[in-house]
Amino acid sequence: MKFLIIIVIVLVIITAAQLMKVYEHSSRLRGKDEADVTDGETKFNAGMLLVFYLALMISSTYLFVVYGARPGLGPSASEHGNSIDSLYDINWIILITVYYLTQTLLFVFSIKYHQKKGRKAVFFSHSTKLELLWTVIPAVTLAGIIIAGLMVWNKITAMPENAQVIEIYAKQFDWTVRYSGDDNTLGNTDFKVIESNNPLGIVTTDLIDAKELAWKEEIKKIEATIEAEGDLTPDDQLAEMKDKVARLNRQLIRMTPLRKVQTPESNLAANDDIIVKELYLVKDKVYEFKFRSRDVIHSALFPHFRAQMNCVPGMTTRLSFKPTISTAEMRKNPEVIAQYKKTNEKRVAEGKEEVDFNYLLLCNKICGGSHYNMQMNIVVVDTQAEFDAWYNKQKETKTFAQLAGLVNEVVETPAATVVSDTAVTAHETVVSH
Amino acid sequence: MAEHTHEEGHHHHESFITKFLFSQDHKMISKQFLLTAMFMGIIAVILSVLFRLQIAWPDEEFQAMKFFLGDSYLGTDGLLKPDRYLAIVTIHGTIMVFFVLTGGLSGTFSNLLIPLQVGARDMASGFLNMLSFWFFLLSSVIMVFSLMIESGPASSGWTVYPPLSILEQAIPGSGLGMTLWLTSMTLFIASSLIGALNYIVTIINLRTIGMKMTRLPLTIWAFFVTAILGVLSFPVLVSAVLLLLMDKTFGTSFYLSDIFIGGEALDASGGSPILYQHLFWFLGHPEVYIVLLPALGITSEIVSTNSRKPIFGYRAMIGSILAIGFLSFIVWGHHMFITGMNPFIGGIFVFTTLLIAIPSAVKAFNYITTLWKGNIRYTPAMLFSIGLVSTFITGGLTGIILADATLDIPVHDTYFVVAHFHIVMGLSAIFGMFAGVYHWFPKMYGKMMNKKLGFAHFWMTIVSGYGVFFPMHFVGLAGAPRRYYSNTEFAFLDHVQDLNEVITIFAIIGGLAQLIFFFNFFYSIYAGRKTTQNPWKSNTLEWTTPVEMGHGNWPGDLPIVHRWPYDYSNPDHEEDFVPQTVPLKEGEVAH
Repeated sequence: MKFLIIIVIVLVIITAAQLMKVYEHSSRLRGKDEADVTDGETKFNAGMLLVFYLALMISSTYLFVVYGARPGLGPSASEHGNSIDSLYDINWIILITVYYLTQTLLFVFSIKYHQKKGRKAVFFSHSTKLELLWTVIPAVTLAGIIIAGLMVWNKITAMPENAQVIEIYAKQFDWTVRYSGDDNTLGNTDFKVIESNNPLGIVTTDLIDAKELAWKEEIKKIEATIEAEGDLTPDDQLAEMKDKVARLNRQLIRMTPLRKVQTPESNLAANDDIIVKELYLVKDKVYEFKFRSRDVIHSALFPHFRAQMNCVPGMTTRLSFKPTISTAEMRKNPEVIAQYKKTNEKRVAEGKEEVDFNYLLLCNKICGGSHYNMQMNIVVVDTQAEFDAWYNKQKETKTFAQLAGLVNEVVETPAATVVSDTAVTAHETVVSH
Repeated sequence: MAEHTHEEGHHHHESFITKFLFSQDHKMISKQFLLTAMFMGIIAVILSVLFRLQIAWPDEEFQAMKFFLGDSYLGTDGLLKPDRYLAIVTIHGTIMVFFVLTGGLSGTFSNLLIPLQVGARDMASGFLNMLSFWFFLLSSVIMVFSLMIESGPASSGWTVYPPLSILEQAIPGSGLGMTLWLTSMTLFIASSLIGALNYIVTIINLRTIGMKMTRLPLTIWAFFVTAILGVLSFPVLVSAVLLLLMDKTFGTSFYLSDIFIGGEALDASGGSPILYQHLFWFLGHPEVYIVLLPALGITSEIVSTNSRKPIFGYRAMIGSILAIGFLSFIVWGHHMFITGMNPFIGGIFVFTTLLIAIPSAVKAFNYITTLWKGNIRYTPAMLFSIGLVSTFITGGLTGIILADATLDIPVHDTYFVVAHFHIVMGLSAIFGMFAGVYHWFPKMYGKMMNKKLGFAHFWMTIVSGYGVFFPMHFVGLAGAPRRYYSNTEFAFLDHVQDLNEVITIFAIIGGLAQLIFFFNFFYSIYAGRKTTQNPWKSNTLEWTTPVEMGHGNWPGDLPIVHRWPYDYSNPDHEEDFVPQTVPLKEGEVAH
């Protein structure tokens, strides 16, 4: 197959080359110079420039009108998003005006001053006045753009006080949410204590104790194996085992600083944290999101809230916003209704299921194979009461203490300890303490 | 006269190997760069069409994928694998930015034009120049080879941000593929540095008699500033790349900290992935201008020659090149507005970045004024230059959105960004390169390229170029992230899926249009019409050499320069051009 395609391509090239030769010979006979542009060619290209210019203007106008500045996203669902959207509007007005003006000048001049044999161009090499004009006008316009932009920037990046704190945790390829509990304080975390029943690596003194115990036992076990079967074990396996012991010892040493920062308060702060796989927010409440990542850089993009922040392993990043439109309200927005009607008609035609509007959190920094499907649902409810109803239900089963098995009575109902997609293992070591 | 005979002696000893392979003649090296870049360009264009097919019709099987990529890139369902999608996106970006637009553009035109336009017999160091090409070729070979290894090439985007690019557990391409990428890039940077130093030394030291800095063509000014940017910024990339290599292979942790992956906590601690981004973009932003300035320089020369008018505001053009060059070093942070950097520092980068718009606006208006009341000759090179100005304006304007931190938040890393930088780099800079090839082809090969095919190539390219990248802005505004294997997981993006299909159709047309160019190029080398000495009636020195040049460029003494290069349609002269070698008339005032 490949061979056949290559043969066809070669034949096409040879044919084209032969045709070219014929053309070359004929134009040579007519005494044409390849460097000169003939009147016919000038006319053709001037015409094409005109057609292209008109097509460009018409099609860009069409796109501006039909798609607009926020195609398919609806109105901003957050307070600061409204400032961003209005800043966009101002900027688009300026930029689109400049776009039409300068493209028009460029194409009109390119077409109007096309070559006429015997005419000499005007010798016009510089004009300080003109050059000052188009240094000063852009400078003034940009000063305006910069000032307007920075005013909004300073406003929206300021961190509010007394906001509700929520952690959003990224890993390949999903998101996890941690509510800070009644004390509005998140417990400490460390990546070294991450386990399937402690996916966020939350740290308490109890947990450190349990971990240390488990690691010490494991070291003992491996050392015993080396002692007993060391002579019979292949070198590479032996080295691997010794490696493992060394690593566990290093981890033990690294527990000391963790233990130092733990206080009774921080233990309490950790134990009441609630870990869920969906983000519930209340309309008109101010939130402070703290972002962490387990493995690579991710980016939390909230397109409907006009918010985005990177999640970087080894550091915590922060972002604040106040949702202003609930999910239910957004579903009643005429713009959104019209769009989803269109989308669903198309989806049904393609045999896909219908969808409803939902706020979503997307990953927007390349993070691996399933980057394109790293998403989480966001629900904005209208009233605190609705939120409380949901929240109290989560509180029954999904506090950190329950999930990590640090509370005995929960262990008795094992079904409740499962965090949606993570299997619970290694329970015994923790509980035995 | 002694010099004369010495130079004559040169071309007698040239064997096939010293003439075509290990040549130290800048003209041959320039052609070697061009051909290598064209080959790399073909690969990158094919890759781009393949991933565009994937985005537009994610559920369809394509024979083209199998034909070009082979089975290892496809899953059991016959579709492209998601991580291999990222791999071909990464290699497309790397090849285009570095191999085509940096190595190809500077390597070809700096090499060809610097000695010819300043009036020198060759580069300051012919040997280093040759070495620069061979490093470039070697790095190209390694990059292409990495496409064929079992675990796949580097897949973490052309910016190769760690930790993704370091951790093989995170994506298979970060194994051997990434090591090859780093090796290739190290060689590439060595090539760029050697080349850039050579260009700077040649421009400063080897200008012929009378060639004052203020009489240099704007091409040379652009190449000069480009080379300085390269010398100052590429070493930073080399250090970033070497630290990355050490993190990957020697277990250091410059960029790693607190990572839990593949079921275990890594030992690395204390590093910062953000450090890499600072180092990368300290190169990365000047790199944008390393790509763009040569194209703007080429356009200045071509617009002036083909409008038969002096370039408007020669000194302002030099000033804006210098201003852009300087500012490009203090704006890198605008790539990092949402990394959690201090908002105050973000604000400073907003200010410095938006300042670049001023010299850019000056350049755009000066081009437009150069056209005003000209006598415009629509050669293919001229058409591409007009296209460059048009796309430079369009891409520059969306840059203002992205430079403004507030406006950047919702569109950061979306297709809006992709559209923006492809309009300035993928269209403007590439148009500059095409313009340069059409304009100086007679100088390179002593033949003319076919005009009519050139017109067809231009019109198909600009229509499909705008057709691809203009609608793409709206895909980004709708919130579609870049580097997504498919948008089908998000119903709210269904809204712009028809745009994605339109874009892909234009991309295919645009890719096919390049076949016209390749055919024209190779056909003209062998069977093109012989050129005259100065086919475009141009003023600059390269057109004073004979058509068949040996090593050393001018058979006799070097030309002596008496005037600036833009005396087109000077009312004191009969002809509408006055070469730089023509002495001033009595009473004529030098520009």
